[in-house]
Amino acid sequence: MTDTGTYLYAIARSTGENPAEGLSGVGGTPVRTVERGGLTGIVSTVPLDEFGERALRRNLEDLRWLETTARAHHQVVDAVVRRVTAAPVRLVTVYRGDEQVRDLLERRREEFTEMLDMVTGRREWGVKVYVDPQVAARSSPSDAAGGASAGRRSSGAAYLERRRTDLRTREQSMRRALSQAEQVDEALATIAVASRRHRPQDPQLSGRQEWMVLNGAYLVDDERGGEFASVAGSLRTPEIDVELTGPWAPYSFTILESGESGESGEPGEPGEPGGPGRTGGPDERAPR
Amino acid sequence: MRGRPSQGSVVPSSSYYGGGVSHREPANLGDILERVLDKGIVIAGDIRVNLLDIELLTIKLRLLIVSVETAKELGIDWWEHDPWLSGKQRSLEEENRRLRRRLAAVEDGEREDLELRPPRRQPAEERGIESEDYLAESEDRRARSRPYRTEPEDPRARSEDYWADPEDYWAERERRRAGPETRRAGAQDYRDGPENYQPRSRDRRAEQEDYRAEPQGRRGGARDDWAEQEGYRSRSEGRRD
Repeated sequence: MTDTGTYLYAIARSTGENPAEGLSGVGGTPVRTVERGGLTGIVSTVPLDEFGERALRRNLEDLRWLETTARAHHQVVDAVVRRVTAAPVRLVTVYRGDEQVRDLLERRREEFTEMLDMVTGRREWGVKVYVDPQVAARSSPSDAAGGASAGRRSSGAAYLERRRTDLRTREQSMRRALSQAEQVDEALATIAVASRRHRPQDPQLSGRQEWMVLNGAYLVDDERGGEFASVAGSLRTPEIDVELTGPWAPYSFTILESGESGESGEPGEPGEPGGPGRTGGPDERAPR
Repeated sequence: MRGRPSQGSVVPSSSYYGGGVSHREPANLGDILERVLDKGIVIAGDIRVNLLDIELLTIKLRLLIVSVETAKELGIDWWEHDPWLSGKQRSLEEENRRLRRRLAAVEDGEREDLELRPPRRQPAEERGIESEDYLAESEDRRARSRPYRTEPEDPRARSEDYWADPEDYWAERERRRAGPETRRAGAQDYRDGPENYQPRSRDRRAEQEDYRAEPQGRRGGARDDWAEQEGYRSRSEGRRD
């Protein structure tokens, strides 16, 4: 198969300069731009025997492939948003050809423009708050006291008491950590223009043993990036660790579903698949 | 329409934000996947490859099904382990409640133990019936009798085991008693669950011999007697078919 498709990475404002210059995309092909009506699609050509629908179903299950592709996609998006205002498109969005991308830019121009306005001059920061359950428990005075008094009792009761104290301590420290996480979120949200809460990641994903009690994304004005970062750093306490990632492309603030726009009912379109409603999305606070 | 000024507004260099906060490094795969798979513009309708019908959850689930091990190596199974969604917290609360109940029961038992330690318990042990026989007794008496069990090993270590999980402890005891030292394997099965007791044909002869070999010990107490007779009857019935 020598068929090719057009892989779309992001949608940007046309600025006159080429935001894709020198970039190479998924599969190592050069990244190009496709323009229409003041909007630029950041694209590259991909072989359909790798990015065709059937191939993708297989490839997405191949974690090596997924990782390579995800990183390549991310690199392009990341490089582009450093040059221009751009909104990332979800991984492996492949069109039949450039003309289709132009159609898209034209048809949904309003939406895209609105979205780009929202993220102009802003970047996304990721903030994760971790609490180490052991540290949290150790810093609680009830532990030591409980242990000492229980020591004189018969071992069974003492054991139970210890267990109970441990559990209570864990619960308390978890609650404390959660409320600290809330405070962190609140403090950061005052600096950010918009914020979203993502699900806390599993230790295997985060690579850290501690509990993740906050996984937030914050859209922050460029000028306030430094302030945001230093506030995030200052919110650390002996009990909680605050991890900052970013600045990211505004992934979490350009979530735009198809089907909500004037796309549906257009003649000649292949039937809208009306994808299953995305449920359980993160909380979103309306941008101020 | 100009984009925001390129580069320079946010300085993404490490030194800029100073120490204290971990920041920009080659973003970890989990963070990237979290974003490129779950976030960003989703476009459907005219795309060549329509991923909407491979909803993300499906992708994730497939990853999980197809190569759990690899997925775990890469640490991308967060959809499965979200403590806030998978109810781990609830089970913690439940465990807590259970422990509280158990503690209360233990404390009651202990008080009773101190006040009511009945000397008449002693003969039972001398008769060689030992604690096993108490297992067949009511919950209430069982609870009271526990402190009397004399154990060959370090009692402290064992009682920790016991309190950690009484059910498990007793199960372990049963297993141990089922070993070569077991004197009455047949009655044992019976006590494990009288209603479920099924004589095992291959053991029948052995049980019989066991029974004959030891009539004295078995007559130690009324309760014991009854249990044995029941057990014996079951065995006889089993033999008929």
